[in-house]
Amino acid sequence: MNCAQVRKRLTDEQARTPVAGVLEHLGECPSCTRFAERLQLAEEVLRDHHSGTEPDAGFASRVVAALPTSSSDLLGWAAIRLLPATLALALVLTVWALAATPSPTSLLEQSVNEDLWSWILSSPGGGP
Amino acid sequence: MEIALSVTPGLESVREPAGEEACLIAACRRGDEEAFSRLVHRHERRVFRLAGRFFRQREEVEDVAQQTFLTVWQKLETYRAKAPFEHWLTRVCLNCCYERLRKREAPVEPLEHDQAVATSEPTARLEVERLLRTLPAADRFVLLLMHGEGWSTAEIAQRLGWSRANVKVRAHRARKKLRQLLAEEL
Repeated sequence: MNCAQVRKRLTDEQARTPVAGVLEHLGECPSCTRFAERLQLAEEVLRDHHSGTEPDAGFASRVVAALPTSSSDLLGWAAIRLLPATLALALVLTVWALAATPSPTSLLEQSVNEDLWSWILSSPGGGP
Repeated sequence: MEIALSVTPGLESVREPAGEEACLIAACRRGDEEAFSRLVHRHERRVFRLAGRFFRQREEVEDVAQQTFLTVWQKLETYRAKAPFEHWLTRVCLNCCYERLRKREAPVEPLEHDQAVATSEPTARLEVERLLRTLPAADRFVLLLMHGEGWSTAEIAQRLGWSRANVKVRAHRARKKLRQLLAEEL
């Protein structure tokens, strides 16, 4: 067996059992012996590859806190949180609307004053 | 009736009443976050152990574990109780790990843990670790499942929902790539 055949055989999961030809080649070829050692080491590294990380006591709580909020929950939340603000705004607008609306008496007085001023300004030699 | 929750070698066998878990899952489907918290607590060690096989940094392991459980919450409707819940959970977790590995194709920097080991471990082992980090994500994923978890082609196919032929092709490709990398370094 040549080097390529031996290395293919060594990495073939279905034919891992060393045959006489492979062992004989390894006894003669330092490069393939080194390859076999590296391969064994790689498999050890893969087997031992683990972080060993364990979850802490608060992990489940953090997951629950990260859950996406459903649209119905969001609407309910918005309704509850925004209801006082909406009522307050409505109250302010009502008060403002009532305050801004002139009474009939004030409209009449305003109209008389405007007529008086226009008469003063339009009369010859008159006006301030 | 009880089911064994232990499905992977190395995990202690935990026996839970199937009815209790089924109740928790049903409550989760109704949106019960408290039940979901208990379900997470019940399976978090399993998910961390599996994610820890692919990622070394604590932050990454926790991110993947969290993503796994968020996916479980969102996709719980698709779980059919024909198979044990932990099989489905394992599949969700492996998919999350695979996706993250694929997105993170860039070589991983050595970790503090690795650097601490560097003074005591032989150089050959460090070189091999570096080589393995240069493997494409898909190849590393399959090799870690085969050598790390000790799963056969059939087991990988079953747990990931892939066909056996697909797993065989991926495993063959991964071993070929590993062989090339080791040969180049000689």
